[in-house]
Amino acid sequence: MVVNIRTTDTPGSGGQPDAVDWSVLETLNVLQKAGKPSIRRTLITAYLTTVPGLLERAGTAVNTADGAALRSAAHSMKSSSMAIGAVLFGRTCAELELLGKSNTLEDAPALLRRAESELDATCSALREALEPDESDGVCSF
Amino acid sequence: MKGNQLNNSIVAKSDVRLLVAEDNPFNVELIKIMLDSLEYPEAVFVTTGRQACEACNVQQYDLILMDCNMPEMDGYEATRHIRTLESSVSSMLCHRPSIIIAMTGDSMPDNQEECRKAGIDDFLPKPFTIQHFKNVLQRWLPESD
Repeated sequence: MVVNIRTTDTPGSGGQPDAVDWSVLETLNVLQKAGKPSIRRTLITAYLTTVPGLLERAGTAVNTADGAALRSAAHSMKSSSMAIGAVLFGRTCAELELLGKSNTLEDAPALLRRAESELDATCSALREALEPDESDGVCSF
Repeated sequence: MKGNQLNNSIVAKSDVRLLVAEDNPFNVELIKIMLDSLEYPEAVFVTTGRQACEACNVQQYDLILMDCNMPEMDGYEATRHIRTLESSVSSMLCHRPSIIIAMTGDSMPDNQEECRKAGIDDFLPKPFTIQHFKNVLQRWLPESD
């Protein structure tokens, strides 16, 4: 299957920091072997089907004042996001993780709203990097 | 770290038995890609610490990549269970203890100490690059057949 994916010269929008540092995916893509499924498509699809659900878990944790659950969900989102190059969202996840770890959730709702906005931008950028028929149904965020 | 534990043994790269305990589907795909690129055999994947323990009850693994942050049972507790299991059967069956590598996003000293106390041999801090992944595996596994 041929997959057209934007490369490192993908521009940011309006001078805003890019939601995705594409150089991270480029680094992983050097592992691509002939005849194997596209690494970038595999990873993008896995991200789009995994991380929005984790953010929902984080939201539930904030609503129920469950610091341990917030820490766990944020930790998982952080590692996936940093690994795919979603650095801005990954940093916000790290902040959420710290709030969960210390069980000080007063600032968590505002931080969660920022995380939702950043994940929205991240998912949009990643969906755009896939061909239209490949992104169908992989991100409901 | 002790290092090269299996390099001095008769285990060939193609015979290495790998178990990966990781609940995050994105990380699972990433690890599959990296293992394939380094030409290690296909690993067995589980998603909880409890499943990792059950897998070790059925078969012995040469190396276990253990996520520390998993539902049901975390990587520390799973490692303690596996070490207990090994101590009860290894003397009878001459099993070599599995090499257990913690995959953790928290590489602070207190976390590393908790890993060591649980019986974890080495760390793979998240997020990891292919080079980090390769370096850690090569410390413990044979590089060729």
